[in-house]
Amino acid sequence: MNSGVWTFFKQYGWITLISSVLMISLVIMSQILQNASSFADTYSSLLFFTLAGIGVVLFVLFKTLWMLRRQYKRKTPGVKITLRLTLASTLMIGIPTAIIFYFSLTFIQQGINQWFDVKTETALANASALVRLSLDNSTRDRLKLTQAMVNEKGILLAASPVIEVNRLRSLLDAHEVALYHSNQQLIAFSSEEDMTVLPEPPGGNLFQQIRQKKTYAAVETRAGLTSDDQFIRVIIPFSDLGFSGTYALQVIFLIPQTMTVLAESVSAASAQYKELSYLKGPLITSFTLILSMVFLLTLVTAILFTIQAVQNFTKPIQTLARGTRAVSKGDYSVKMPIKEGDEFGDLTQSFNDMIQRISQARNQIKLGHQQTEVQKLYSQAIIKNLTSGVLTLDMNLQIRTSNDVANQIFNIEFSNYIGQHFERLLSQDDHLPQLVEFFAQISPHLKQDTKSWSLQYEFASQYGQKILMIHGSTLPSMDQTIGGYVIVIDDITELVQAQLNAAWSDVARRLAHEIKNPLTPIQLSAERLKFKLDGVLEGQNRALLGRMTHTIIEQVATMKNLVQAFSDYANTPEVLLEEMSLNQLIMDIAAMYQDPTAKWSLALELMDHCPMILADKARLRQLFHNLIKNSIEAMENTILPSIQITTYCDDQESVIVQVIDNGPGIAEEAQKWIFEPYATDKPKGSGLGLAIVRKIVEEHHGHISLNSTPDSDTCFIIRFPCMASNASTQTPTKTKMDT
Amino acid sequence: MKFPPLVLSVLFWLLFSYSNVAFSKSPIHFSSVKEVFQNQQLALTATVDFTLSEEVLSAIYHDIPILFKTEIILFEKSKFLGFPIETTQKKIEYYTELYAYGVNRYYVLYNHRNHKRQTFQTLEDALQTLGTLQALPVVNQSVLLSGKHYFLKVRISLDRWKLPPPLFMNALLNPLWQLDSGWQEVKIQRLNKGA
Repeated sequence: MNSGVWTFFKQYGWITLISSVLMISLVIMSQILQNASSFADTYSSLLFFTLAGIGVVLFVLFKTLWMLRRQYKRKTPGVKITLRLTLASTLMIGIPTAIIFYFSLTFIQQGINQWFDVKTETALANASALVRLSLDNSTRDRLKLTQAMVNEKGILLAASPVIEVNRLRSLLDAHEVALYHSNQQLIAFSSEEDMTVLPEPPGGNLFQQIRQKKTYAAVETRAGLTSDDQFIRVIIPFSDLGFSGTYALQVIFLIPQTMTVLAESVSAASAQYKELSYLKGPLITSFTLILSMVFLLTLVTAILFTIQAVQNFTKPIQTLARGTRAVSKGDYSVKMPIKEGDEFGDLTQSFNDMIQRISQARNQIKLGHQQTEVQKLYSQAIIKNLTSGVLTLDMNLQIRTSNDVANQIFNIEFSNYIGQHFERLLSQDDHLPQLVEFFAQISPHLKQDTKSWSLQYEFASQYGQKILMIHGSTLPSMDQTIGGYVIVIDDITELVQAQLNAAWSDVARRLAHEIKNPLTPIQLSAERLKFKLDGVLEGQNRALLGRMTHTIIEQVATMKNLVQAFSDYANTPEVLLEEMSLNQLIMDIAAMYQDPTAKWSLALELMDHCPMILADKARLRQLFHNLIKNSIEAMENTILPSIQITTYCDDQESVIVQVIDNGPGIAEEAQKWIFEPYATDKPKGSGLGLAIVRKIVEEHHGHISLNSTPDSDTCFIIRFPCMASNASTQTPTKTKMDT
Repeated sequence: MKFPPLVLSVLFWLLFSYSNVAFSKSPIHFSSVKEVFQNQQLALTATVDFTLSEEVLSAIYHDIPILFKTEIILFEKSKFLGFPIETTQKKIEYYTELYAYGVNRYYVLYNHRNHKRQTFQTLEDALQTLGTLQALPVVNQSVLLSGKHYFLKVRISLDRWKLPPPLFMNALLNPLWQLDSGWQEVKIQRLNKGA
């Protein structure tokens, strides 16, 4: 069998079959009701069969509706449209069918009622009465005649019954005459027909009547060859002369066939009319029942057909919905089967093509995204490893990215503030004072939307003054507007310092060279003048000469010292790093300053178990001498001057030395240039002491800072990396480093 | 489990209707039932009174043929392992049709078993004849064994299934059409005497 036909049969066949069988059954029932008496016996069976069949169809309908309800609750794709179309179809089919049902019912009722009317009923009743009257008269006449004959010939009849019954039959023109004794014994009979057949005796009840001397005359029926024959039975009881017995004379008069036929037709018509009249109500009920079943069957079948048809119709929609659901869940590998060759098939094919293209595009996007991610990671790695600090802001000045160098420069973990507005962050967080000045510097450039800009900015960090070179640039966005800002921060402190150092070294070298050379001839010339003229001059002139040449020689010596200092600053020796105890060195130096006659005092407060450091002892010795000397000079006018040297560790990475004096303090302005060469406010100072101190600290990868205010203590804070941290970057043994 | 009110009403109506029929006197009841032995035959003689309902009478008056079913069963009662059992020895079943006929309104009884037709002028006569079972032979006496317990039971009922189709539903649902005498049982007493 063709698969399409088989599918159609599977979907619609069973309901078609059941409906057809039930319809045939209903038609037969209808025919039976319309006097098809040959099938009358099957009516009850058909009725129950049809009721059961309709019950089955209703069950199927309820099951289908229940299934749809469950699908509706489960939100199965296509169920809503199935319900909607089913409802619409039900209304479209149900309303006209109901109207037809109503009118059919009305017509049936009216039609059946119109079968009967008073005139017909009266006519039939009158016809029946007429026939009955005619037969009654005939019966009465035959009774009278027979009675007369019996009265006349009763004695002879009892005496010679055989002869008399024959005669009597001729006289009465009867079909059959029979003489019975009251005890039901047949005495004699005469018949028009075969005499070998005995007459049919009266019933027992009639003999009872005979015994009571009652006559009997009635029209009776017996089965004939072609139809029932009607006859008049007359029975007259009589007695013989001696009253020795009671007899009954039965006379059968055949009613003429024509009359019988006419009477039969009237009787049949009347009987049928009466039967129908009686069955009017049940007939209407039965037809109503059949019509209702037809209506119900039609409606239910139509609904089931509709549901099946709509489900078939929505199957491609369900398929597509299933596909879209799979796609919405991210499954782009789904491929919907194409079963129909119609527009739905085309739609499904288009859907499959679309999903394939989406899948391809998605894969490309995914690939692009992955590439972007790789690029992003690559960029992040580059930014992270840059020696410059990088900070990016979006167009709303919210922090987007930062690298470790930026964190180090500002001593802030910027990643904690990603997504926060820069300006608002500063106003909210009081712990970020280092950023306030920075943002104040860059803010005008950001507001001006200058494409690229740069500025140099001196920044006071907790490790001292830093010089930052800040480069800014805008980031483009998709719509060619400003998408954000990138700020690159370079810590050029060391570079600037190195440049300064180089410059100052050059100056010192030149000064030493230019000044040192003429000093010796000047000194020799002065000594020669004194030698030559000391004997020539006398008195005040001799004394003046002596004072002048002494001054020249003394100043030349001072200048030689100064030149030597410059030379030392310019020609820094190589640093020889070795493991040493800072506490020990400080104690050795302090011992040299233990002078009971001195008006100042030196106190130590050294940490126990101070970590070892890598340092050049000679250079550190110079460092501490310079600092102590600086403090002593600064405390010239101080009452009870004192110096305190303290060592401690604030973390595992560095050892901190503090040199504190109770001198007059350093003005805030002076703190900016105090470590610069040739910067001094002392009349005799070379201005190189603290510059050399800073140079030595930097040679040891340390850091020096100053904490002082006017009229209070001055504290130099030096931070040396200790061995543990040095070990990671430096060789643990002696190391020779170029400064 | 809950029933809708309509279903409950219908159930109550049916129960009420049938209970009325059940508790009132049965429209067909046996006034006498006895067994007789005649000509070496076990026969049944019984008299049945018919009190037909208006519905049935009206149907007869309107020329609707009514079929009465007569069932006679001869059975033996015995016990097997203490449990009573009944063994049917003979079953007689026949239909008698009652209908009005002709312009003279005769009432005819037609026996479907022997095809005998009897005409009566009144319905009462017809019913009387219908309700008279006069020495109806059941079984040859030789079949009956002495020492056994034989019983005869008889029942006359209106066969609603043979009514005209339009009337079928009415007769099925209307208790007034439930004409049934129920089984009337009689023990065969004179077995030894007859034998």
